[in-house]
Amino acid sequence: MNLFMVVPYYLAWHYSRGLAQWTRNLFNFLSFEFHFFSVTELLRTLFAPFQRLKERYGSNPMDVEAILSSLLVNLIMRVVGLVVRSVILIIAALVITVSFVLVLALLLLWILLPLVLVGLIVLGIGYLITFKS
Amino acid sequence: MNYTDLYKHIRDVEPALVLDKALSPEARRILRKTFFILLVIVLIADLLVTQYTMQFRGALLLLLCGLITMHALEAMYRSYYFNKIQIDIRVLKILDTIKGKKDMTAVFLAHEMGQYVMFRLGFSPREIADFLKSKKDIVTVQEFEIVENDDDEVTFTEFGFSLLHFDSDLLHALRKKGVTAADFKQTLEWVSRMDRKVREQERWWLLENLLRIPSIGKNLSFGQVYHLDRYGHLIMNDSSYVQLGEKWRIYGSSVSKLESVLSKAVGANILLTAKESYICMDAVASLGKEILQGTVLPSVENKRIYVLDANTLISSYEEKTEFETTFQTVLLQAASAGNVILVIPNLPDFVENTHSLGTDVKDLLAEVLRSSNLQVIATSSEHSYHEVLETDLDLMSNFEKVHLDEFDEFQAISLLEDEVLYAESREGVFFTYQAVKRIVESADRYFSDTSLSDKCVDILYEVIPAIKKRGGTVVTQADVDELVTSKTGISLGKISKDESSKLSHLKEEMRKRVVGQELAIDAVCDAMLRARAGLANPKRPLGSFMFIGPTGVGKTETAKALAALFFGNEETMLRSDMSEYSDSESVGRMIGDSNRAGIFASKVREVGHGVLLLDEFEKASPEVHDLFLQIIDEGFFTDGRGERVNMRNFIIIATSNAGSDILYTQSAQNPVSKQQIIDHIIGRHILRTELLNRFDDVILFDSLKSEQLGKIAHLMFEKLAKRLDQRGITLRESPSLITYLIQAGNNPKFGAREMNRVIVKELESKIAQSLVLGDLFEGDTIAFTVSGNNLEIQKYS
Repeated sequence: MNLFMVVPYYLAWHYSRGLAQWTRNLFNFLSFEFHFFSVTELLRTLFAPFQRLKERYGSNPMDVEAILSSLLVNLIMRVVGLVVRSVILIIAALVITVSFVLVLALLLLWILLPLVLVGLIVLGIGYLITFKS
Repeated sequence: MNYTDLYKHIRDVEPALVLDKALSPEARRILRKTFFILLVIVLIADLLVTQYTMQFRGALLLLLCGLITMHALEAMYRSYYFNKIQIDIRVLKILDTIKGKKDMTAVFLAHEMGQYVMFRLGFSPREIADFLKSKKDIVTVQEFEIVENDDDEVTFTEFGFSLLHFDSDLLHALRKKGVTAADFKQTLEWVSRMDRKVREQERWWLLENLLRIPSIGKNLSFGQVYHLDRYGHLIMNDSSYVQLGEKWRIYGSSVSKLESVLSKAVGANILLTAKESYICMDAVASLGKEILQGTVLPSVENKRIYVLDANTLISSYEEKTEFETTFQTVLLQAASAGNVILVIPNLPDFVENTHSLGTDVKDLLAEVLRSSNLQVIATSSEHSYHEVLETDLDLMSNFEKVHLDEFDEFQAISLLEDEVLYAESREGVFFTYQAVKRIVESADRYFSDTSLSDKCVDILYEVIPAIKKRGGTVVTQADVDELVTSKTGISLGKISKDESSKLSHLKEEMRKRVVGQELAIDAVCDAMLRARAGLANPKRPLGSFMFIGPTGVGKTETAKALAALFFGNEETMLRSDMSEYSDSESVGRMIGDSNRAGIFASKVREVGHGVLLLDEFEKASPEVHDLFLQIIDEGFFTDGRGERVNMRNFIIIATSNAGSDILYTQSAQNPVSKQQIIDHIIGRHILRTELLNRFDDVILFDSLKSEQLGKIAHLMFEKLAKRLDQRGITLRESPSLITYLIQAGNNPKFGAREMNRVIVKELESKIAQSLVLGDLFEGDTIAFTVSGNNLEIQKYS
């Protein structure tokens, strides 16, 4: 039995189960990137204080200075948290966008793969023939 | 399900089978590698060489095409391999090659996995070929069907095991290698699981594998725990985690239990108990491992497990208030961090130790335990739990108790099978299944005082250097036996010629040392032979005997002789005077408590194996008798610290002279039987029936007759002569001296002990006196002359 007998089986698989699995695997990468950058978690806690650092408000409601001081510290912590999270989210958005384009390209490549392989053979032989002549 | 039913499923994986026939998996692997290497070479050449550009590019494109094609074909193969179908693809591959062949076993053994199973069972390629040649029983496709299958799915294991059902030749060949049907099944399962695991690990692109990569950014949402960093450490830095290895797989169900409790909104605190405390920490470490891999429930995801260093915390403070303030800060910080699971190892000890500072840590914990911000996992041995925690209902109401079982032999084998693969790839050796099984059996039988899994792994790695040292690569059951023998002094495995001759002469050798106790020697030697032949119960001590008889009749000497002949060294005899353990606090002294080690427990751990002689056993307290009831029954006891002490490598000999007074009254016409003595002992409540029944045998030592005393006199004289010989003095034997010794040493109440007293008091004293006075020198030859009741030293020039 030679390798050519595999071709029809392969082509049938390539455009059915193979295509489905390839698509799923590519989207797995996108899911992984969401997980890697903790996108959901960062969006949910976007305005939360950085590393939960916060100043407790004093028990005396008349001590305005202390209240304002705590308020300022807590505000700063929230701003720091927002900035750090935003930076990570922006990087994540860039990476995911690029990845998405790449996924689409790879999906297209899969669909065209049999033709690409034929193309590579033709081109390759073409180069070799050019050399000989 | 028969062959026809199975064969129908071939079409489910036809593309993969067609590919396999066109290009074997090995050929495909080589082609992939070759294309890749050539591609790299041509690429580099294209970059470096300025000529032949077109030629290089043409080759590059063709090689790239070849490489992509091979990967695409492999993708198709994997797709079918991992596709969930009714019949395992490996079974279908075997069935696909069966056409035109008569014997299904031969086809199975021609398949790479079938061969691998046989290699694991200790068969060499030549032995497999010889077996197939000599085989008479043919398993035809008509008669074959899958047995012991209760669903529609057929695994590789079920297929292989079914072959054994129809092939008596295969069964016979396996038996000759010491392999049971259950072993065969376990090996099929092992080989099948490993094959799948290796292939699964290659699929790094699966979502579950990708999600194991830790994410960034999540920690921004959680607080820092500076105090806990000082008085605790992350589970990843705990010794239990470091030593966990592949064990975490075994704790899967325990981890699931922990996860479900920790997922509760409020009061998600766990008190983990187990017979041995290390099991608790192993389970926590396994949870840590699963959190790191991201394979836990969402509610436990991103949690940090911190282990409290209770001792550091307590020893850092002398003042109660300082300690309380710090501990509260630790708890508050951990709670406000939002993702901390605090582990308090050995909670009972922590509670008791904080009492020394005058504080009650339970009050400090109570508030945190009731909140939803911090989750606490406290651990305790079952023993300490009952002693310290169980009665504290307030504290316990905040915990959900989860009990963990130590894993059994079967689980240990499957754990070790995984570890073996790592060891093999690192060390370049190959373990047979029998070796793996023997490691687990030996760990359980001979080293049961520590964790079964840890001991198994220890033996696994200890046996490898010995094999490599002698240039071997295959680790067999005999190699494991050899290692265990060298560690325990207990002979295992096949009995060598030397040992066989030694064992067959055990009785004769014993008789040379012990005079006149034929029945006792027979009983003890028979029990030892049973133990060596592997017929004795592995969950009990090697042997347990109750020696009853008067003083000085050879009870201790029998024990000594046994230690010397069976273990090769009299020093392996551990002697305990049980009259020292007659009060109610004796058990405490023997096994110790949480603050001090027990005398008996320490001695047993130190010696490890040998003969345990319990002198005057009847004088021990009833509580001590109860302790030995358990030891003889189960082969271990638990010391005061809750740790197991292994007694399975000991021969236990308890002696008693209870009932001797009856023996003195016996005569030739009216002898006293063993049963009469036993009835006497039970009737007088000296020992309980159930305790006597636990011993392998109760052996009656008779009073010594004058003829036996004569033999003993000779033996004792020889011993003295030997000692003097070492000092350079020769002692000659004289008949009159032996007669004197028999007469002077004949005391029914003290047996041969009286004779020993005479030798020490009269013979040795006189020689010592002469040596001190300068009448006797090295090189002298002497004898004793008897005149009346006096002994005199006679010197020969």
